[in-house]
Amino acid sequence: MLDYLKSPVQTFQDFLILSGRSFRNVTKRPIYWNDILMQMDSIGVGSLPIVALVGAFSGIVMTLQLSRALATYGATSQTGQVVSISIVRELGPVLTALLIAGRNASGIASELGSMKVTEQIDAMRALGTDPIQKLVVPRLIATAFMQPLLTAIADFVGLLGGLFIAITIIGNTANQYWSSAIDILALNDMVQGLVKPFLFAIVIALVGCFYGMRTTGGTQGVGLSTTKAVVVSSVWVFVIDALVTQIFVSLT
Amino acid sequence: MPEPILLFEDVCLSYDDKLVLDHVNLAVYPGDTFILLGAAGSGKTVLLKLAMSLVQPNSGRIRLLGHDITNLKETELFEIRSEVGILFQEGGLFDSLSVEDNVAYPLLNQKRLITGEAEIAGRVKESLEFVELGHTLDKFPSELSGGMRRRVGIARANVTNPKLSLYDSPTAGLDPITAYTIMSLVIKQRELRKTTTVLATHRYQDGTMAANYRWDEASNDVVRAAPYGQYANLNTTFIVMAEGHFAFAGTQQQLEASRDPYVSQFVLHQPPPKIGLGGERGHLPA
Repeated sequence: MLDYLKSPVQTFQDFLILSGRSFRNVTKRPIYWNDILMQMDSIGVGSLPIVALVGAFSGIVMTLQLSRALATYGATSQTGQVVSISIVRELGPVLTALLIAGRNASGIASELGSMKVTEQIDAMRALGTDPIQKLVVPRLIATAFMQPLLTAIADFVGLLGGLFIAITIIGNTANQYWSSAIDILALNDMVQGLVKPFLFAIVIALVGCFYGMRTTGGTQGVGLSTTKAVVVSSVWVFVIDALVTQIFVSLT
Repeated sequence: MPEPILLFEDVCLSYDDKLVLDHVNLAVYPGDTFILLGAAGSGKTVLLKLAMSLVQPNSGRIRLLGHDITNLKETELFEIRSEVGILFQEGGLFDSLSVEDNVAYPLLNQKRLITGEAEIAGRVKESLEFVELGHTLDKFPSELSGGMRRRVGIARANVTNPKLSLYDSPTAGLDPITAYTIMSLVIKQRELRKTTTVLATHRYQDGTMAANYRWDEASNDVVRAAPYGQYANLNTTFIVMAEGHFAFAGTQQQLEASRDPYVSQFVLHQPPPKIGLGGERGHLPA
C-alpha cells in the first residue's frame, strides 16, 4: 500500500523540483530569444485557427441553447449578457486551455521525449547548455505569454458567434446585443478571464516538459509520456479552474 | 607519474534497486586508450556518462582532469565538460539543427570556447573535413546515413580539441567497411591531436584496431604498428565489463590468454565450448 502511494508523491515532488528550477531560470542568463520566438510562433500563431474556430462554435452553440430558455422568461434581450459572462469567465479560458493542452502539451512532451530517448538532452548537457534553460524556459515563457492572448481572441470570436445567432435566430439588434454583453462585464470578470489562462499555460507547459524530460523506453515511451502529458495537464486545468473560480467568487 | 585524466574511486550506481555499477575503480592517464568491452546492459554507457557527470554516482568519487566532479553543480560542470568530447551511441545529433550548426554547437555554447564567427566557421569546416564530410554542411541529420551521422558526431565531439574523447559504441549496427572507417577516424584523432581515448564497444575488432594501428599521414590511412602476429599495444588497456563490474582488465595478450568463460567470448565471438564437447565447435575446450 505504501509503495502504491509512494510513486505519485515522488512524481509530484519531481514535478515541483522541475517547476522550481524553471521559475528560477526564467530570469537567468543566457536567455534564448530565438527559441522563445520560435515557440511563440508554434504555440501561439500555430494554435490560432483551431482556437478561433472552436471559440466561434462555442458562442454559436451556447446562444442556440440559451435562446429557448431565455424566450421562456421573455428575456431574449439579455442574450448578450448571458453569453458574454459565460464565455469570458469560463468557456473561453477552459476551452482554449484544453485545446492548448491537446495540441501543445502533447507536442512539447513528444518533442522533448524523442530528444531524451535519442540522447540529445544528454548531448546538450555535455556540450555546455542547460536543458531547462534551453528547452523548458522558452516553452514556459511562450505559452504563458500567448495563452492569455489566444483566450482573448477566443472570447471575442465566441461573442461574434453569439452575435450571429442573436441577430439571425433570436431577433436581437447588434446594438442591443453588444451593449448588454459589454455592460455586464465587470473588472473582476476580465481579470478572472486573463488570470486563468495565464495559470493554465504555466501548468500545461510545465507538465508537457516534465513528462517529455522523464521519458524512458524508446519510442513507446514517447507515446506514453505524450498521453500522460495531455491527460494530466487537462485534469490540472479543471482543478485550477475550480480553485481560481472559488477565489474570484469570494472576492465579489 | 602524471595525474590521471579520469579517475573512478570505488564508484557504485544503482537504478531502482538494480546495481548498475558495482565498486568500480579506474584510472586513465594522458595518452592512454581504454577499450570497454561488455554485453548490452553491462554498464559501459553509464560509465561514460558518469565520467562526464551526466549521471551522478550513489557512492564513490570521480575525478576528471584534476577536478572532483562527484558533487559539482551543473553550471560548474560546463567548464570542465568543455575539455571532454563525447560521441553518443546513436550520434546524439540535434535533429532540428543542420550539420554545420550541430558541429558548431559546442563552440557557440561553451563559455571557454566562444570565439569569433569566422573562427567558428573555420573550425567547423576543418573538423568536418577531418571526418571527410566537408560537403555536408547544410544537410540535416535525418538526410544522412547511420555511418555519416556517427562521423558528424565524431566531428562535433572533437571540434573543441578535447583532452579526453569518450566514444559510446561508435561502430554498433554498422557494416564492416563503415565500422573500419569510423575506427580509423578514432585512431586519427588520437594520434594527430594526442587525445586520450575511452571507447565502449561490443566488437573486439575495434579494440584490436585501437591497440595495433597507427595513423599514417602519407597514406592517409591507418597502418599496423607491429608485424602481423605481434602485439603493438599502443598504451591500450582492455576492460571487459559484466553486470557492473570489471570481469577483466589488461592488455590484448592477457585478454586473449584469458580462459574465463564470459571474457573469452569477446575474443572468440561465440560462447565458450562446453567441457567435453569442445571439438564440435572447432575450438579447444577451456
